Amino acid sequence: MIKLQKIAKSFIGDEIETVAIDGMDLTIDKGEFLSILGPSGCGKSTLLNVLGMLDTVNSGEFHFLEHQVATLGEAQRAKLRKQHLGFIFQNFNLIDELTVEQNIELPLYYQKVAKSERKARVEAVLKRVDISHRRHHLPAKLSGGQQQRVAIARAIITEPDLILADEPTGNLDSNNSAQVMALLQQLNREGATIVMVTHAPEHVSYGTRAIELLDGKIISDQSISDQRITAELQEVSCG
Amino acid sequence: MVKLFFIVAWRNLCREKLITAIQLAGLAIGIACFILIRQYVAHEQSYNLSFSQAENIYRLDLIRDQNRPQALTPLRLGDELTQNFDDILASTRISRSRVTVKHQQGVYSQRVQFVDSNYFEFFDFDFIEGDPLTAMSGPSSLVLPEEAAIKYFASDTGIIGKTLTVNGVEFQVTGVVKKPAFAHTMAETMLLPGERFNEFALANPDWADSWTFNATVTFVKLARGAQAASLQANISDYYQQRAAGLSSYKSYWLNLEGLTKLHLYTDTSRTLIPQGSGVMVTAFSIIAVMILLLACVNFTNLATAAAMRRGKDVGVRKSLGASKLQLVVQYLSEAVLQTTLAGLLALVLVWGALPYFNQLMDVNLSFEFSAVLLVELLLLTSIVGVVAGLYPAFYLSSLSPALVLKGVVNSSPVGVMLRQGLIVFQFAIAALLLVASLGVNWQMSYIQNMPQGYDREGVIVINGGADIYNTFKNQLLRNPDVAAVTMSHTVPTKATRTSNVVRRADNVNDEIQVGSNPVSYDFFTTYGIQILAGRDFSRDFSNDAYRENERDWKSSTGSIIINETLATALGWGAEQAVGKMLTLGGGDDGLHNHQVIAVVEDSHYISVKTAVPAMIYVLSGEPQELSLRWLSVRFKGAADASLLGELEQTWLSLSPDQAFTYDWITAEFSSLYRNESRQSQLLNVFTLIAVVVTAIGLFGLAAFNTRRRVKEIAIRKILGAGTAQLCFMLVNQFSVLVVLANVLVLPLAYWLLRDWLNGFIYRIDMPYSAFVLSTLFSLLVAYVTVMVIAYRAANATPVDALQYE
Repeated sequence: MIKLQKIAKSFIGDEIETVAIDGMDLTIDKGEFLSILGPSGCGKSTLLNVLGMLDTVNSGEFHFLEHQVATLGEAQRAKLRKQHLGFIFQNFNLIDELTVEQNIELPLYYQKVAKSERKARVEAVLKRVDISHRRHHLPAKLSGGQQQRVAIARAIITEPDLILADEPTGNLDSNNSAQVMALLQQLNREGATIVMVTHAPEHVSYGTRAIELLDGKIISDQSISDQRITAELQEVSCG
Repeated sequence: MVKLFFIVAWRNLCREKLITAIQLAGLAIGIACFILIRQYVAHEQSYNLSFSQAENIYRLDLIRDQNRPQALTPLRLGDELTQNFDDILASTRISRSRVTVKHQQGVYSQRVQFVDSNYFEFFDFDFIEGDPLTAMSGPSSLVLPEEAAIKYFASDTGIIGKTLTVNGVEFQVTGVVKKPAFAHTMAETMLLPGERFNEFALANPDWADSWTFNATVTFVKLARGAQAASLQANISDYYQQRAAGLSSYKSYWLNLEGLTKLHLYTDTSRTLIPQGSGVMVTAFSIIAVMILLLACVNFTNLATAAAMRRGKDVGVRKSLGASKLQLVVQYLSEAVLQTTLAGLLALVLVWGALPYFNQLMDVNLSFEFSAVLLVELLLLTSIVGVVAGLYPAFYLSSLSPALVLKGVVNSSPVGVMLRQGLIVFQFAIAALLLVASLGVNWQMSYIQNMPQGYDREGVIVINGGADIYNTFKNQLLRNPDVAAVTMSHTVPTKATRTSNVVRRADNVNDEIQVGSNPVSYDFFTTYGIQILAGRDFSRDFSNDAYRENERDWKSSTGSIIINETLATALGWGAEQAVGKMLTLGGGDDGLHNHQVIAVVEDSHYISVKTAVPAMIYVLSGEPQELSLRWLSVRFKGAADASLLGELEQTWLSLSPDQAFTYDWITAEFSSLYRNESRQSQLLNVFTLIAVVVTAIGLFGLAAFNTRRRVKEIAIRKILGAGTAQLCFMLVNQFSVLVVLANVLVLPLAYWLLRDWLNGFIYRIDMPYSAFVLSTLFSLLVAYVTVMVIAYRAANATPVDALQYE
């Protein structure tokens, strides 16, 4: 589904150039639930932004489905984003002025989905993430866990091919975290491809594969099958 | 502590460079406009205040029947009133004429004033040399203004006793008047003794003693405590008794107009210099305040918006023990600091804009940096600062520290409402000015472009020349570029001086007051005035020339041409009127009948602000007979300098002592509307400024609002919103406000415009499209302004916005 070849990305500051991704190769198949781990500043978020087509790369090739993303303009990338991707953020990024329902409906509105269908799909998704009872509330009235469930609902309402989650549990307590992770795992089992950046090694076990980054490079790549690997990963990513 | 306070204030200004620049620029423009207009208004209101006896000096204005007051009065009036009314201590007269001045090899046509010897006791101008009290006392005295002294003698000193020849008589310079630095309503021309007026300008010496020949402007000095109102009634009565029955007018009234009111608060014709307009001065004062208000609103708006960013500052200060009052004082002082900066910027703007403003308004305001000005400015900026800073200061200082520290502070509904209300207010003012300037411009262009009943292109008019007229005309007509030549008592663009009363010969009791223009042959051809029915005056008909026979009135001769208005007033159609008999005369004169030989179209002699009066044209067989004063020449095509040079040569060969000066009728026509044109230009400028200031404010607010929504924009973008969708979303929030502003102000604009248009006889219909255009234009301005911001925001990389969190 996704193939990155020799991807490089650096930020040029006032005086120094910071290398965020350093010639990375990565392939992600359909149906995977990939966790990205690594210490702060190792390039996790940059990688996610590149995958989400929110940011451009300096060099390398980026194939998404049949598209060579690196050569696309902003308008085309926006179109791909709209059609294939769903986003979940650490700080939820709900629009404060819109109700739960309106927030969830927004992507469909931008995809010009007919009103009746929008209503039906919002209805279904609300049930799915179990937030129907707060549908008319503004985000500020919800708990963190509830807000993140709304954000997940918004991410999945377009039935995206790929869900990108940037530390989805970073702002949540352990109880809410477990609920959100369970929800993501369920989505994955139902066929969604998920790429998640996380600081929490214990959440790696909800996924199917984990990579670890350091200084813009992949230093380990494991499929999640046994607890030992998970434990090892937990040790390295605590830093 | 104070130092720290300034540092904080300064850093705040620097942190938001764009917003600060917008706030300062808007406010500086507002203050600069206010200063400029205030200077102008003060100048307009200062006319004649510098004369030491201004409070006791009045001008006599004559009202005949229902006509507009005129400044011209009989020559004998002043003396008569002084002798017969104790409250009138003295009078002085000013009569104008054009003379020919010879000096060395040069011959100049010059406007002069003939004044009584006590002129400088009324109007104490400063002299460069000479004695004001005796300067005008001799019959050959001559007082020059500074400019004329330099023109003739290349010096404004050491010229007492030098001579100039005026109309063949030698005059000796007895004084040079310094160019006054103050505003006044007297014309600054060469001054000749009053008794010379009779000799130089009166065709008939008896006119000097006439009660109905109005040729001079009379000023009187009243005793202290004199009651102007009752005196007015008494002198009017006195005058009425003497003038009644001497002319076709039935009633006379004399107004006493205070010297200091003359410039702005009278509507008198034939004044020494054109009046200003009190209404316009008031209107501009209001506009000045409006623009200043707009700028204050910008300031408040941006300050409250920016205040949200400083919520944390409030929280920290409050938790450290600052009282509410301390915070109010701090934020208010910051506002005053900013307005003071804007005030300084405004001074620079005023300094830079003053030459253009002077040019636009034809005034000579100077910008002198004085302590008074500085204090005034400081006061103004402090008031503006406090007014504009009050809401943000109280808003900020009342925030709850616990909430703001948690970051809960956000747009309070009151704050949002206030900001939106202020935007509506601003656009309402802008819309009002837009509608007004559209309406005024259209009306002005309508009256200047409407058919005037004559063709003003390619005609020059020359003052005088009756004595050489026939030869001059014959020689000119040999020139292939000259189409027609005529002479007349008055010409279009100049008022009719003489009046008469006509009646249908079959109904002599029904009198109609008419203007009368004695003309020579070819007048209608020269001015392109259409003859609707009948024939022009012609040499083929010996009885066309108008000659009154004072011994036997009934045997007076002459044909008459009337205008359409008169034909209608007499109850005839154009064709019908031709051949009918009219009865003229009345008063002391006997009645005499004349045949109408033609009806011509109505021509506007003076501006179309007045209706075309009923007019008769009579033929002066020779130009001297009916004292024709203006010689007019129509050219076939464009007249160049060489053609006009040829004319001058011809003229000087016939009359070497008479200067050849001419005016284009098109120029005279424009000068009729100079005040209106200037005022509509000024209105346009202020409208533009108001729109710009409003747009600046909107730009700032949009920038602020947009930045507040940066995260939202990024999220929407990630969720698939396109640039156009985002721009529309950002712009749209303002369009409702703009439309609302227009709707709210429409009734007021309609009412003002209707009132103003009703002041015109010839006017456009209520220009409803102006209201639509104003709305569309304000929307356009709002869209373009906000779009600049919106486009940038909508095109930003979403990641940056989310990282900014």
